Amino acid sequence: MVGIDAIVRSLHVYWEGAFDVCPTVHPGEQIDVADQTAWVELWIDNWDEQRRREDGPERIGVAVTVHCFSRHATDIGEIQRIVDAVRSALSRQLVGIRDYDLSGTPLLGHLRLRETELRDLTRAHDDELRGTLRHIVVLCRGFVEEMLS
Amino acid sequence: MAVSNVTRNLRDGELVIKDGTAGTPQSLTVLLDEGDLRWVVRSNTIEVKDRGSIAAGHTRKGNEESVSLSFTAKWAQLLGKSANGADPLQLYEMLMFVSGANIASTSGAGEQETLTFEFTVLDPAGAASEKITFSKVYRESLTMSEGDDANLIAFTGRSFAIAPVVERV
Repeated sequence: MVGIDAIVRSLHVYWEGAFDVCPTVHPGEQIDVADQTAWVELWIDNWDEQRRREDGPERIGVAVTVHCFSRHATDIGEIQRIVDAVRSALSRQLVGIRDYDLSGTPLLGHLRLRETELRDLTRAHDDELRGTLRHIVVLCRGFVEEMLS
Repeated sequence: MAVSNVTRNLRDGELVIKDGTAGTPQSLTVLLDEGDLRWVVRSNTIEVKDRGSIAAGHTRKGNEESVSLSFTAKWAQLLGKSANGADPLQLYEMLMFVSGANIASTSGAGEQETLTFEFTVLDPAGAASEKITFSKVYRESLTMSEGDDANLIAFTGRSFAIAPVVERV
């Protein structure tokens, strides 16, 4: 069985090595962004276990959502550069899912990510922030396949 | 009571394909199948009508028909053992009798190449599982197709028998 903990930790480990454009905030984490003009929030917010035979390998549909924020006063291209870096880190990638609780971190399966979808939510912010805080959501769906024994 | 009336579904099935190797046949459990195994048992009947009348007519048994069957599986690796003897046998090379995989037909020399399909339906209540055996299964078509979610291998063929053998296991 590929546990949710293994999937989340594996994606976080992969993300640390694949994205370094700006700080990443994980769910439940608080960071001081007073000195930052940009940051992203990384979520895995959908789990869809697919039907299978009793002895068949597990297959779980997942959605990885990255909220990208930029509040640079003059560099309006910053948000696009962040979004492109996120797309590059996620789109069509194959991420190994490992059990980090065991020595040797054995491979349990793979996360196969598809192409990304973007949504610009900048307009949804308060009038006070409009024009300064830009917010784009990058959604990348994929599925985790358990290793065949 | 040794039977259970719990409805079976695709989660309870397991398809195993065996070849005709003497002693211990080569065996492959289809792990990536879509759970869409289907078979049809046909029976032919000759209707003899009396001057067009069914009431005065009668029926006779027609020719026996072999069993048609099909299933679909996700496509992972096409060649295994035939490319490297240390690799596990793969579905494609077994169904295609690819050279190097050493798949032996279950039929005699000179006959069409055939395999044995065993479909086990486990009783979710654990009381009375059943095995359906299709003998002398030959391939009519193998359709390979690409897809967004998964590429697929679709098999259609026939079992050269009038019906599969169903037994309780």
